[in-house]
Amino acid sequence: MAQAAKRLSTHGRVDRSRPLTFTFDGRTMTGFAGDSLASALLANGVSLVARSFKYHRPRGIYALGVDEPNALVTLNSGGRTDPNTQATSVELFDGLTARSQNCWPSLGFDAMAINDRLSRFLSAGFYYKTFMGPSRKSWMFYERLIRKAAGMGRATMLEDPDYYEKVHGFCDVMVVGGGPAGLAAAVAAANTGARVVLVEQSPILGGGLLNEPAGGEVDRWIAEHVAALASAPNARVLTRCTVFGAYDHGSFGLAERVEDHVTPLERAVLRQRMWTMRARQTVLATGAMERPIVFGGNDLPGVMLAHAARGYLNRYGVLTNGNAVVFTNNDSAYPVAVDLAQAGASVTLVDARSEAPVGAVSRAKAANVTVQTGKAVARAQGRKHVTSVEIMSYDPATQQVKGTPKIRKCDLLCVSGGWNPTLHLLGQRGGKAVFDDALSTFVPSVAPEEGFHLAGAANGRLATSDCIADGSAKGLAAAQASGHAGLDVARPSAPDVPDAWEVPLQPVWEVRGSDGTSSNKAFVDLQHDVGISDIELAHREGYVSAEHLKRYTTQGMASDQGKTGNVVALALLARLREQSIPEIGVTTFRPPFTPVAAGTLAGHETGHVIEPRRHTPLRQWHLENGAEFIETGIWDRAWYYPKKGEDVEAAYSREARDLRRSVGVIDVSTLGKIDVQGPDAAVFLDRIYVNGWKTLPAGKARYGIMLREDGMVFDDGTTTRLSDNQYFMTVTTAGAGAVMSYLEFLLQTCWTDLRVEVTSATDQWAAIAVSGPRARDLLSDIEGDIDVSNEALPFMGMTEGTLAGLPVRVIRITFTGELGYEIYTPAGYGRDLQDVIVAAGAAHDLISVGIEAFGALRVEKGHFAGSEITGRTTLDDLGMARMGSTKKPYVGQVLAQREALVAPDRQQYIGLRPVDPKAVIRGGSILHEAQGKPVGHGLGYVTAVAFSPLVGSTIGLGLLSGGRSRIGSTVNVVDTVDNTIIPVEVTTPHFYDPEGDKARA
Amino acid sequence: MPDPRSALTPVAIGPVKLAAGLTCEERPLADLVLISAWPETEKPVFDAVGKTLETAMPDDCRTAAATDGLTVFRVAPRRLMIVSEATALLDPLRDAVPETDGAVSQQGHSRVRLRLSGPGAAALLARGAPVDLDEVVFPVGAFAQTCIHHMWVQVHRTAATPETFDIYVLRSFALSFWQWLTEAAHIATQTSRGAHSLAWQTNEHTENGEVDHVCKKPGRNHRNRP
Repeated sequence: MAQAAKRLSTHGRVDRSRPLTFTFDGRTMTGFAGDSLASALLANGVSLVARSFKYHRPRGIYALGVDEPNALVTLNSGGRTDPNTQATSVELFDGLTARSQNCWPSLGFDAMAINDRLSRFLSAGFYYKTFMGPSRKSWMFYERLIRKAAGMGRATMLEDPDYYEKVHGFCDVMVVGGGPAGLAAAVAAANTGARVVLVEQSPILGGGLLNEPAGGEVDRWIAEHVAALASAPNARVLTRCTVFGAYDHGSFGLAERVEDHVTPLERAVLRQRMWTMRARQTVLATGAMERPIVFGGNDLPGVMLAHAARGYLNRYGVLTNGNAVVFTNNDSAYPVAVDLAQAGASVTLVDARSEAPVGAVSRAKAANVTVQTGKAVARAQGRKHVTSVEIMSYDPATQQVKGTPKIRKCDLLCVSGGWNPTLHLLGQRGGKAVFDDALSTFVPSVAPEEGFHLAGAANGRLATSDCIADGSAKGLAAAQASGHAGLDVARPSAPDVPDAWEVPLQPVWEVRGSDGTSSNKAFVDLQHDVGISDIELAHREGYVSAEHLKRYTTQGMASDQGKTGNVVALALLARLREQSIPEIGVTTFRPPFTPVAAGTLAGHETGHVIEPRRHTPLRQWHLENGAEFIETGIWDRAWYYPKKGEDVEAAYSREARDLRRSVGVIDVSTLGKIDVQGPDAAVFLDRIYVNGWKTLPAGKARYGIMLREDGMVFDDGTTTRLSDNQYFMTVTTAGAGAVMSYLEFLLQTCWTDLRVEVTSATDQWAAIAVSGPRARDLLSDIEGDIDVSNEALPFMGMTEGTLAGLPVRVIRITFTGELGYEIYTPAGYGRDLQDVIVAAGAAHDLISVGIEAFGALRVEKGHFAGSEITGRTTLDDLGMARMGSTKKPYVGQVLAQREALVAPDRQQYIGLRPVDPKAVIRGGSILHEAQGKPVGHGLGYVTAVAFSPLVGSTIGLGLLSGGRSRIGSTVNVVDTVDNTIIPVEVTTPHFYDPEGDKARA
Repeated sequence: MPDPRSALTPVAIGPVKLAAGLTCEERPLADLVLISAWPETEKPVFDAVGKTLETAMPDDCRTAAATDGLTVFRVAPRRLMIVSEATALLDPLRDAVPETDGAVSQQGHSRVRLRLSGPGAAALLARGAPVDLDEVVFPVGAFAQTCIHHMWVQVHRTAATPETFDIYVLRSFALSFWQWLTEAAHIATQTSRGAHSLAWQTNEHTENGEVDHVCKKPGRNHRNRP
């Protein structure tokens, strides 16, 4: 049994005076404030944390931060369940509950571990090759089962009880990363007076410096920089915040974990905040990530990246295990060995290089580290934890081991294969990286665009002093580029961290046996269980590029996106193809850098505030009078006014019937209204409408239709001439925005010579339609100077004045076919006008009419509306060809004459009446010939239906091929949802008062 | 003639506290007009408007010209938005601007004006407006037309201390905007330490515990749909 990790009484930066209780798989444990979940698990002797994705192999904690491939856990419970979370990135809090995932019945004994025995068969592409048949749909069936077996945690289906929000941020200089380079950059930039934001994903600042022993010069240096930023009013520090995406023009996506580290409360809290940060200049001080060397058994619990072991010791006071082997090809692992040894571990350092760094070796030996050079770890052994390693001589020429293996017992194996600059954000913007032979990795070459500065380890500067110098320089450069030519004032001296490399790194990607083969338990991508053997298979099957390798093997496609293994995988394919690594190419970095919760992206735009609604000035009246509301586009409108026990069908039929008997009042405030002014207004209207406007006198309204340039009907409405140079245009509710934009577009780009201005007046006016045979009687009863007699205010006339002291504009137009008036008043008086009308209406059996009945009345009257103005209907399709003027040009006139737009079989606007009055037709049904089977696309479709009290049956409007010539004939209405076929008679669309006598009464 | 009704009836009557020290209230306006000139008439029209109103015209589309009773915004090339606190604008401006030279559109009922005042006002607006409202670049007098939660808004900084913004929204959106504003303020203050000021706290390191008050998150439809 391996010696368990333990918490030391001395090391680390945790607060031992603040113990925290948490549970893992139901076991209660204790950690300290400042712990990560990973460090607390290690301190409690937990080394087996997860099962791997495919083979269900036992896995432990491998890394220190967001590069962790193994230790995925599910946090919390209920609606706050958070699956697939890296234990290394979770701050410990009191009451935290964590569960292992992808194992059954338990983490210790996982039945699916049988996959590990079958791993020979479960190679890359296995599923695609195996589950192809028997039919093309088979994959869909198998995929569900495979996804169930291959495991990630499960998301909860419960509603998230917490809040999320989004914020816009702006700064002159954003510094990404709070390590030595980032802190130096932020302070340098802030000293110039530039507005600086420093973003750090960890809870505290310091970055890689926190892995140095606590209490030394490093802490002094960090504290001085943190204090400098805290005292600078122009600097803001965002910790627990990840820059996950880099986008156009210096904008970035940031996810700030506001309350993830806090014990969940009964009540809802603001859990995460998404920032859209716009920075003039950006310093990427994102550091570097250590990469592994691949060998047999390299995924066992107890195998760990070298810096991680040091971090657990120096940051959290956890000696990960007592008997350690450190395997490296570079100088950076020597301080790891020294610190572990000084903390009490027995340490052997295995350096693949034959030439060792003299100074580092002497420091290691002084700390009682056994140093072996020219050697490699050929294999790690153990079942649920590493128990020993095989150490063999290493031949750099063949990249193979040779000789007799020496077994060394150990319970911690630290691995360092070098460092990869963290270039994700650079890559997301298309920045280029070049392969650096000295570091054997990709380093930035060309910044993606103006405004990016790379600093520190991200820039290939691995020694602390170089990082700090580079950070300072880039911070200053960024501030100056943002327009702050401040002085470069003196800053705290760099701490003495002797980590400059004495001997160059020697590239070692994998350790193969003396026969040249590799173990089939040698993993490159630990999270997705991609081994050397999978990459070899991909090569044998002809995959030649990084992008293809990735898709075939899933290398780098897990939730960690291959942060540890990607460069290693490239190196392996390069070796197999006998090419250089740059020739293999790199995969593309895409956002997000680390996973982002969906709730964070949604912010608070969920539930009832997912989008804004528009409300009419009469809203409160509708509420008080029992209206049901309906969403029509962005507007909330009064749908119907149910009397006791009425559903929508009963209510709208009653409202429609009664309006034709007495009078109804309808809120039409949603109509688009445009104030058209200028000496050329009439010319303008002549061009945008198909009909003529020059002869329209002041005080008169006219109905008009607009076409799009392509000849299709765009919108319709009534425009009234108020004076010589001013018109009041109304357009459809749905079309208002588009019409307004289009008119402005025409005036600003095509007809700049016209002196015309269009101004949206939709929100300025409340509009109330009073319609029905008794409309005039009702309005006559209201005190004021409006004369509504037929002589004073004929059909399509307009007058202005007051009603009951309220300023009004009355236009005699109707949508229902009855005698009608649209009364406009400034929006703030809308409610008062409604009250006046309703009070006067009591004597005239006035009824409130909602939008549903309004729609039914228009179907009876045969007015086309949005469901017929679909963008695919022409003037002639709608039976309005005669309206098109021949005396003047207008928008759409030319293209409306295209062959297809004048074809005789075009679908034309008609009415439909069921042969059997009891039959009910439905909107959207397809029209087919009366004889024969309904096959194909049919002759057209039903655009609108309503129950007509007048006709005594359901009636419909529709678009029917050659429709006008079919009037009087029968077609079938085919409802493919209900599977019904209903014969209907084709009629004119005008079921009610086709001559328009009622409106003119 | 009665006073115009508020578009925010009945949700907002008087100043509403949104966070510690931060309030919002409707500020009714007496009149609002939009004036447009054509390219060749811009100068004479602006001159005539300035003379009639006895106020200077703003130099650019970033800064409003304000006097006691009037605020003039250049909202677009050749276009002014003029807000009056007491007097009616339409008739004098119609007299000043010949119909051949420009258009005067009365819009007094089309916009609702809210005043957001107190620490955190800019921070709250930053929850929705993609505009840099830092006093360094958006000083008193500055205004911007932008979008918050898909709604057109015009934000005008009217005072530095306390941080104060006048926000113009279209009347039909006013309820939805009010709902957005109150909801955003509520959410922004829901830390584990209880509701607190919205003002940016630099270098804030939230500590565990210390709950000021405990309340449950209301259901999704806790506020009646307006």
